[in-house]
Amino acid sequence: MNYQLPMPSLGADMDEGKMVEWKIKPGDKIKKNQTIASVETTKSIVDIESFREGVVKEILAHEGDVIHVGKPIAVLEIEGDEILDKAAVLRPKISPAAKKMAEENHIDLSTIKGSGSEGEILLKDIESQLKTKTQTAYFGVNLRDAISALMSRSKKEIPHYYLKKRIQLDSLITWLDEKNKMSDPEERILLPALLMRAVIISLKKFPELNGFYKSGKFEAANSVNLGIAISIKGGGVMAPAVIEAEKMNTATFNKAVQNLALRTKEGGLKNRELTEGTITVTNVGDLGSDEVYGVIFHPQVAIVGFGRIRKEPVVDHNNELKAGFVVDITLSADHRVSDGLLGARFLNELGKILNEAKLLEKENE
Amino acid sequence: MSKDDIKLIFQESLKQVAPEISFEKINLDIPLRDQIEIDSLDLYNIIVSLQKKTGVYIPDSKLAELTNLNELISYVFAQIKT
Repeated sequence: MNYQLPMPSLGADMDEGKMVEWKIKPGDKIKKNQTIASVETTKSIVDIESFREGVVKEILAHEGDVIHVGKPIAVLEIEGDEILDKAAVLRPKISPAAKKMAEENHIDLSTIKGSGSEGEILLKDIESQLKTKTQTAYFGVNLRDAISALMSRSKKEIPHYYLKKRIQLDSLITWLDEKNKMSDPEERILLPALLMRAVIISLKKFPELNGFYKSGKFEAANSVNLGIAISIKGGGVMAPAVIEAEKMNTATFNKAVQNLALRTKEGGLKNRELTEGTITVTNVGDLGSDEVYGVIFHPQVAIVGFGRIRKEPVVDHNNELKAGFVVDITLSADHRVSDGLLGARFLNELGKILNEAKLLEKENE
Repeated sequence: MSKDDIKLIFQESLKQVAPEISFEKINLDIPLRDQIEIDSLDLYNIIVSLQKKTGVYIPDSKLAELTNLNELISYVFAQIKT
């Protein structure tokens, strides 16, 4: 059975992608989640993976082509008969001369509307497309415009509510100082990674904050794919996710965060990492700001914000005033799915975990 | 190891992490984040590189207090001397 592999959407703000490099060829057997190509989006070059197993029958998109999301890029021969042969159904009718010219010039037929009496593609349609193709270079959607559209949609559709909790970090930082002192420099556990890990563990008790709001109802996610807002040098932000972060221990998650940040900046993100985040964290402490109330990434239902870790006057267990490390952690959540009471309890749980480093350490160890 | 040596090591580490940044343009008395596009993960990578080359471990409790490059260099220098 033939299966048409579509250009995946690598984010709600993506309309099209430029095929940079194929990593497969006709005749190759491919497995599920195997990297099959690199695609350039507005933000980055992303490795896309196949959602199906099969044998590559035909490559439809050529390197350099700009393909709209959802349009076919390759045809796979797959086992089973549960999928309709969309390739055959959708493949446009085309005259032999037009087909020859299209193949010679690597034209993506799915982007052409045929002018024949039955919608078939004629030679003049290909010639017209060629004229357009030579006139336009790919610049992608302007990143500022893409972020603008995504954030406007979130603020328009999602009724946010906001909470903040100041959490003391002295015990956590003392524990971390000792742990890292004994470790190899390469194995250093990063403080931001610990804050994120506390979010992941806290979500076990608050599934209402981890998932999607789609078609008028909430769908809780089965795993925690933790999106991390990462600034792009030169402007803009991306929020790729650490997939199934709840299964990782501290050391593994720490490495995964660093690896994700590196690939966000240098290329090599996977499509799953860009499309399957279930909740997002944003950290403005780097920028020197004390708190942030994030905008929820549609269709997620919550975003957690970390402010600057700093010393402030705090009251200790003996009711004495001293200088202590604190961080302001915020929650922006979707009021259609949860209420302030639940959000407050979530932040309390987060504070409890951050003040008992053992809870962080024993999880998944 | 002198303070200039430590500065040079920092310069090399910064180049590895953020090659697009010109070290010469950095004012050593102003917070790094106010001058260059560098996030906490970049900074940790520099600190790790610095530790590997000087043997000086900078704990998070201290890192939060070192607001600019001169303070960081002085801290590493003092730790080497002790």
